[in-house]
Parts: sequence; structure tokens; C-alpha cells
Amino acid sequence: MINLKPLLPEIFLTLTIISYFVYGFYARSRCSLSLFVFVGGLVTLLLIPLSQGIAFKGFFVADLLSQALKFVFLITLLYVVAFSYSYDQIKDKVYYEYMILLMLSTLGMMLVVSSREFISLFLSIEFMSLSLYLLAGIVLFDFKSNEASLKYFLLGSLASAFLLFGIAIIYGLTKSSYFPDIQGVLQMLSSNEYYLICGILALTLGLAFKAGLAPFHQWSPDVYVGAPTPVTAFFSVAPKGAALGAFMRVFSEAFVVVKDLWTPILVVIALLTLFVANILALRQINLKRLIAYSSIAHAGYVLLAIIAASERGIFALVFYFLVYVFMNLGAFAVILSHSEGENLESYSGLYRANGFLALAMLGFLFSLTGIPPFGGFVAKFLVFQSLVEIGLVWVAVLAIMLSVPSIYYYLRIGVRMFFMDRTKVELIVPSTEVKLITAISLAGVFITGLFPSIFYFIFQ
Amino acid sequence: MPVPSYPVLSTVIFFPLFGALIILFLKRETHIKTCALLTTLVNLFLGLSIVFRFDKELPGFQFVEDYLWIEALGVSYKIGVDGVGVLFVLLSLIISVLCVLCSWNSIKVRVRDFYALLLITETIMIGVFCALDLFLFYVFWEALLIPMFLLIGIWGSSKRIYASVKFVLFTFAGSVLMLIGIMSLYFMGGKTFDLLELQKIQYPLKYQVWLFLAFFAAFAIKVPMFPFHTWLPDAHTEAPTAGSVILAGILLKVGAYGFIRFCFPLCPMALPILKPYLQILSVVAIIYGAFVTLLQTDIKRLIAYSSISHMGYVTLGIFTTNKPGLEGAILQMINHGIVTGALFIWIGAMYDRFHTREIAKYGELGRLLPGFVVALLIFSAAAIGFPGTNSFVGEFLIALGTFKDNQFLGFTLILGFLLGTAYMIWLFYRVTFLELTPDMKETFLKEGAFKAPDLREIVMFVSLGIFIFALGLKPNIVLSFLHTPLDLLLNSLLK
Repeated sequence: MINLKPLLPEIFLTLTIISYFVYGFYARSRCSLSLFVFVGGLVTLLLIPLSQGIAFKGFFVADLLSQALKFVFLITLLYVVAFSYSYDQIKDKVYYEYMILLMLSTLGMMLVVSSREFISLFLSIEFMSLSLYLLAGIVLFDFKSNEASLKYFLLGSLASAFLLFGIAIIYGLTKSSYFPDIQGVLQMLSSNEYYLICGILALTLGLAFKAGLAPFHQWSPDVYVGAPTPVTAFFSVAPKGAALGAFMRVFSEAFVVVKDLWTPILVVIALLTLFVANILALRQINLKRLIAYSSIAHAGYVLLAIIAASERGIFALVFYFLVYVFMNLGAFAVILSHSEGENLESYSGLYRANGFLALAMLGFLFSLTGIPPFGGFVAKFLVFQSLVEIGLVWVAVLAIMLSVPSIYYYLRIGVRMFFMDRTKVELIVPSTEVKLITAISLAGVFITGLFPSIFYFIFQ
Repeated sequence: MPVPSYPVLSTVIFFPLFGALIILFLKRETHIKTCALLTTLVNLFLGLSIVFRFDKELPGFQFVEDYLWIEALGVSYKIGVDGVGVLFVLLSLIISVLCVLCSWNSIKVRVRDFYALLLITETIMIGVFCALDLFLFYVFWEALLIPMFLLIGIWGSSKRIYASVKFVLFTFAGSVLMLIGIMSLYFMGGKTFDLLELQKIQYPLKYQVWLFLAFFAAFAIKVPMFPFHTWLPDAHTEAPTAGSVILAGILLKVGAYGFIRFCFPLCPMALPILKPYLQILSVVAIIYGAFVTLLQTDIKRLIAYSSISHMGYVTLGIFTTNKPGLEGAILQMINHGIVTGALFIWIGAMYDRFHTREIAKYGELGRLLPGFVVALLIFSAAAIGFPGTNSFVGEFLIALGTFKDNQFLGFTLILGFLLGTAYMIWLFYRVTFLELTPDMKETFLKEGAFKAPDLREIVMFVSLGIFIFALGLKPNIVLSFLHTPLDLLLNSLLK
């Protein structure tokens, strides 16, 4: 008898998708479609804590890492469904397909973080990516959106090829694709380090592309700007979480015994990412581009936790994403709250136009910077602490110094909202769901910052 | 150790936050101001009750509260005060009342937000001085940035955006290094952030030096010590009066307080190695700060630069690492908070009348506004360190400590005192005695600028004057709190 309990959320989401196929024939209004997906996602979310354990001889695992990340993906899904409902660039004509793609990619991500074996990992990553390529181009006949989609697809396929190449090399060396087996073989492996490094490099390249880490980050600003804003919001959190979760699982389970080999590679990537992202973000005037670079930087911080590859590191990673989902999507809620929200200029005097939005945005920005009492601080604290624990203090010092410029580009928005005046004075009245989302996100950012212990209650 | 029946220290910390919440629901401007004033006053009395119940003879911390906060991280909400802490809590409470009073008429836009922010700042300031858990300390320390950023940026003068961003960037850059230091302490010191536990452990010398430098980055920028001072003139000058008073009165002290509270007990062996460099930096700050002050043409900027020089005395006193030096430094911190606060309030009141801060535009105040001149006389005498005023005692003790430690540096202090006198006298002379040009006088008269101080201003000035003379004539009010904690500290250094 196969133990299906760990797969409970996935099974339920699959059933939701199948029933949505049928449901979509009868109900075609935006409201009913969104509601269906929302409820389906919510129930899946609630099923996650029930699903602990291993299935399929250990190939599929539901542990802290995967459960918490699935939690993040589903929250993101709920957010994006709420965002999309009144976002008029995604036409009614494609709304049905759009919702399917969102759910399918979420399902793919859930499988990615649960895979403990290279073949299923690769298949789930492809499953996730194919849906994402389509999502980027969901605005029909929009040149920028279609370009983003094509760019993402071409480069993404190349990265997948590298990923597969890496997997093949590792398989050739260890005759296994199952992480615990690989770990066992590597323990005894004395020579052939050259092939091992090649394999790890190719794997890292593929995963780094999916996570948007420098020097494989160039696609993300273009894709982020080209994609419709709710999709950008989705991209900035969920696929990153999936790729970095897979990263963590591969390196902390399969390759943990050859830690000395890959630590320098990842350290270089992490520091380069932080440097590039934090410097390039300084002068951005398009908010989606800014958030693209900021999300690259955040992936860099999370990579630091992966370098630690310890229990504390895993914890730091999942906590980081839990906070990130609130602060980043909260910021997206503010971006979506008014037309022109992409434009930095439009934030001048936002405080006058809508005090609540401006204050909430300031909270998200300070949280993204990592200033207490917001959740971003605790998240960053955990990440850096996991690095200090394994003795890489100098990496932590360099990384934290590279994070200093970030406060400048986040504050540029704050400066505009609070210290500058609007040219045209008009009140901004966002829709109810945006207000609600902003309030929930703000609460999330505060709670994760002041009472992070709540998080333990949920997952332990 | 007296165990309080109810968490009195937490009450003092969070009471202003409660006041800020109430203010958010008030509509009328007068109600808001009154609520803010009442909150700070009530909190001052709550704080005074702590001061009176504080036992000066007992070593260690009093009014300690210890609750588990984040279990998995080993973080607890642990607060308490010793003789040093209780003085700074009191200073913060007094400064907060003054801040509300001095902004009474000068803040005209977004009044509600202003007073709410002011009260939030008060909560965080007191929290910084009470925190005994390093994580908690860092949370308060860094959170202080947010209200200060907004206070400077929204209500500041023309270059406010530049000043506020610069302030935040500098402070943030320094404090992240301290964060790394705190993290490494957690692993070196038995997985806890509890300061009292951490300071029991003897760390390796090399580690102590690095740890000291990590904390130094944060504290030196906040103080600010010599090459890290460039944010200060901008922030102080552009901030609204209340912001300047908080910056000068509390924020600068947070850094110096950090040295005493964290660097000394945690890195005692690093001190003798780093001491000479720190002393030299302090002396450079004194002399250089004073020379730059001499060049200023803007009254507020002049006071700001003089702060660099005065904080140089404080850090010099701290790094003499002997008792007179340290006692003088702490006394001088409180003096500087009061005196510089007073000077900022004074120029704030003048700015409300004349709408300029240029020294060249002022004159003849001796004849036209005698009340203000008396106040300025007292405050600048105190800033100079005139005998009978509070700064005299502080500077004297610092000089005593310096001579005990290093005679050469002691002599350079004399130059510092001399220059300090020069710029204050020059300011006083220029503003009080020099003739105004007739057309300037005409415009000022037309604007009705020569208004005698009103009741609110008189109350502020008189109470500040009382502080100045009381501490000058009976410094034991402050010093008696310091003997026990400093003896304890110096004993731990000798070990």
C-alpha cells in the first residue's frame, strides 16, 4: 500500500485543476473562476500541515523545507488570484487558461521542492517552467509581454539543458539519482573530483538561472517588466522559492559531503549576485524593474543560507520566504493600487493621496531592507546567523556590507511618498481587495517580525 | 534586588506608544498637542518614580524583567537599568517633554503624525537604554532610524531629503557590522543574547579586538567620532527643532552609552590595545570640530558642529578608562544633552520669529529681546563650561581623567576649551551687540519679530536653566548614581 498522505495537498490541487477544467465550461465569469481557484488553493493550503512523511520509497518527501515552501507557493497563488481579478490587461478571453496555468505551475513548484531524486526534480522543474513561460506572455498581442515570454523560454530551455547535463554527469559518477544514495557514494569517492566539479557546476548553472542569480540573472528584469504585473508578482516569489528550495535540497542532501568543493562556487555566486543586484537597482525608475533587481538580491541572501546547508540554514530559507511573500507581494499590492503604479514618479506625495497605502508601503520597504521591527529583519538575521554558525564570518561581513546600498533604493520610494509633493492632487482610492491584501500583508510583516515564534507553532 | 510587583520599566517604555495610538484617533490640533504633552509628562513622573525607588548602592541591574521572546533564537525580552541606564532613561523622558513643548507652535503641517512619531521615538529611545538582551537592543537601536528618517524628512528645512537619506545610510552602514558582531557573540558565548550571561565569559584576545571593532562601527557613527561625523551637521541643521533636540540629546548619547554598556564589559582585553587610537580620534574630533565650528555662518550648523567637538570630550573621557574620566564623560553626556538641546530650542524660538538662521542677519538682540539674551547667556556659558554651570564639572572631570592617563593629550584639551570659548563668545557677541542695518530692522519690525518670550518658552528656558545650575552646583545628583556601576565596570576591566 502506497502511503499517499504526504501527497495530500498535491492530490487535492490536481483534483481541483481537473474539476476546474470542467467547471470552466459552465462558468466563465471572472468572479466565479477566481473564487473557485481561490477556494481550491485555500483548502490545499490547509491540507499542508497534515501531510508529513515520505512516499514512493523516499523519492517524494514532505518535510519542513517542502511543507513551508508549499505554504509560500499557495499563499502566492492566493495573492495573485486576488490581484488578477480586477487587473484589466489580462483579458476575459484568456482568464480561464490563465488560472489553469497559475495552478499548474504551482503544482509543479510543489513537486519540485518535494523531489528527492534528480529525474523527478528535473521533470517537475520543466513542468513548472513551461507554465511560467506561457504566463509571461499571457497578454495577447502585447509586444513586450510576448517578447518576455520568448526570451524566458529560450534562455530557460538552455538552462534546463545544463541542468540535465549536470544530472547526467552526477549519475555517471554515482550510478544513482536518489539523493541519499548519491551522498553515500560521494562519501567513498576519492578521485574523479574533476567530473564531480563539472557536474556540480552545470547543475548550479541550471538552478541559478531558474532562481535568477547572477551572472544568470539578465533575463529577469526584462521578463518582470514585460509580464503583466500580477504575473510579475507571482514570478518574484514562487518560482524563486521553488528553485532555491531545490537548490537547498540538492546541496544539503546529495552534495553535503563534498561541501568544500561547492562552497567557494556558491560564495562567489552569492556575493556577485548581491553586488550586481544592489548596484544596478540604485538608479531604476521603473518599479517592476526595481523589484526585479531587489528580488535578485533577495535570492542572493537566501543562497547564503544554502551555503550554510545546515538545519539552521534550512530554517532560515523557509522563514525568509515566508516573510518575503508578505513584504514583496504587499509592495505589489501597492503597485497595483493605482494606475501608473509602475512609475517611480507616481509615488510623489502618495502620503497625501492615501496615507494608509504610503505607510504600508514604507513598512514593506523597511522590511525588505531588513530593519526591525519588521519580519525582513528576523529573516536576514537568521540567514546571516546560519553563515556565522559555520564559520564563514567574512562572507557574512561582505554580504551585509553589500546589502547597505539596498536601503538607498528602497528609501527612494519612501522619500517620494513622504517628502515630495504631487503635481496633481487627487485622492487614490484602491479597490477593496487591494486594501484588504495590503492590510493582511502589513499584519504578516509585523507578526513575523515581532512574534516569529508563531511560525514554529505551525510547522512543529 | 527589588523585584517590582508590576512591570514598571516596560510601562515607562510602552506608555508613549499607547499615547501615540490615542493621538491617531484625535482630530483637533489642540487635543493632539495636549495629549502628547500629557503623555510625556505622565511618563516623566512614572520615570521619576523609578529613579526615586532606585537603590544607588546595589550593584547590578534593577527593575529587571525577563520574558522569553523568540524561543528558537534564544532571544528574550530582558530589560533593566543600572545607575548609568536610569540616568539616560530620565534624560530621554525630560528631552521628550521639551520636544513636545518646543514644537508647540513651530509645527504646522501634519500635526497628528508629528506628535505620534515623537511619542514612538520616545518609546524606542527608552527601550535602547533599558535593553539587556543584545537582540532586543539591536531591534530598538535600528528601529530608531524609522521615526528619525520621517521626522527629518517631512518636517525638516530645505535640504531635508538629502540630510535624512544621508543620516539613514550612515547609521545603517554602521549598525549592520554590529549585527554580525552580535551574531558571532551568540555562538562564542553559549547560544544566548543575554548581556549578563555573555559578559561572564572571557573571550580570546583576537576575537575581542574584532568584536570591539564591529561594535565600534555602529557606535562611532552614532556618536559621531571623527572621520564618521559628516552626517551630523546635515541632519542636525535640517531637522525640525524637536528632531535636532532628539538627535543631540539622545541619539548621540546612544553611541557613547553603547561603548560603556557593551564594548567595555565584552571586550575588556581589547581596550588597552585600541585605547590610544580612540583617544587620538577623540582629540582630533575636539580640535577639528572646534575649528570647523568657528567657520560656521548658520547658527544651527554652528551648534551642530560644536556637538562634534563636545562629543569628542565624551569619547575621550570614556577611553581614559579611569573613574574620573568615565564619570565625567557620563555627566558630560547628560550636560550636553541638556545644553545643546537648550541651544537648539533657543534657535528654534528665534527662527519662529525671524525666519532665518544666518548669524549675519541677527543683531541688537541685547536691546530688543533681552529675555532671550539672558537665556542665550546661560546656555552658552554652560556650553563653554563656565564654572557654576554643569559642563564645568563634566569637562573638569574629563580633563582630570585625561591627565591621569596621558598628560600630552591633557594639554591638547586646553586648546579645545579655548576654541570652544571662542566660537560661543563670537556667536553671542555677534547676535547680541552688533547693530542691525536699518532696513533689516524695519522688516523685522513689520513682521512683528521682536516678540518677548511667551509663557511656554519661559517655562522651557527656566527649567533648562535650573538643570544647568543644579547640576553645576551639585553634580552629585548625577554622580552618586554612577559610583557603583562604574566601580563594577572598572573592576571587571582590571581582571
